[in-house]
Amino acid sequence: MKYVLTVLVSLLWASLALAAEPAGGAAAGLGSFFSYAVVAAGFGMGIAAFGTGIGQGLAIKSSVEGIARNPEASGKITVTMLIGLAMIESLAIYALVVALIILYAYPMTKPIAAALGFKL
Amino acid sequence: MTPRTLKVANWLVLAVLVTVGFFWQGREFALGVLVGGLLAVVNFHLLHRTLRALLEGVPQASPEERGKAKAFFAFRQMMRFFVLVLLIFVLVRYEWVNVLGLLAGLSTVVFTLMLTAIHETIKLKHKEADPSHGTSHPLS
Repeated sequence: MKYVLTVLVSLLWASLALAAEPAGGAAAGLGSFFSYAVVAAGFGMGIAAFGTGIGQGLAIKSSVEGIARNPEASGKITVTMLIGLAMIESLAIYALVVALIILYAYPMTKPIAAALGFKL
Repeated sequence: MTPRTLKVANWLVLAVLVTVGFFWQGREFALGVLVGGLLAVVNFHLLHRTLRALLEGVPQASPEERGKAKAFFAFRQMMRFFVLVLLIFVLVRYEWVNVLGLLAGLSTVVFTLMLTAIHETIKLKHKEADPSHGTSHPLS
C-alpha cells in the first residue's frame, strides 16, 4: 500500500511539474502537448510490458508444471500454451504500435498545432 | 485443434481481412492489413517452432546441452521480438503503410483464435447435445 501511494504521489508531482509551465501561450501549449504524448507513450509501453511479462511468466510456469506432471499431455499443453502466449503477446504488440503512433504518426498532431496557431 | 489447423486458419483470416479492407477502405489500407497480417502470422509460426524445440527437445537432451538449449531459446525469443519491434518501428516511423490497417493486420492471430474458440465451443455443445455420443449423465 505504501509503495502504491508513493508511486501515485510521484505521478501526481510529475503531472503537476509538466502542467506548471510559464505563461507562454500557444508555444507552451504545444510543448506540453508533446511532453504529455511522450510520457503517455513511455508509461503505456512500460505498463504493457509489465503485464505481458507477468502473464507470459505465469502461463509458461503452469505449462511446464503440467508437462512435468503428465508428460503424455505435452502436445495438448503446448498447443494451449501457444494460443495463450500468442494472445498475451499481441497485447504488448498493440501497446507498442499505439506508443509508436503517439510518438511518430499521431493523426491529431496537425489539427492541434493548427488550433494553437502553428503550421507543422 | 492442431497447430497446423491454426496456421491454415490464420492464412484464411488474413486473406479475408485483406479482401474486406481492399473493398472497404482501398488499396493503401489493404496493404497495411497485409503487412501487419504477415508480421503477425510469421511471428506465430516462429513462436510455435521455438516452443516446440524447447518443450520437445530440451527434456531429452543431456544436462550440459539443456543449459545451452535454454539459453538459445531465450536468445531466439529476444531476437524474434527485437526484429518484430524494429519492423513495426520502421513501418510506423516512415509511414510506409496505413497505421490503422497495420493494427487490423496485427489482429489476424487474435481474430483466428477467437473464431477457433467459438468453433470449439459450438462443437462441444453439439457433442454434449448428441445422445449417441455418450455422456456421464443418464438419458431420460
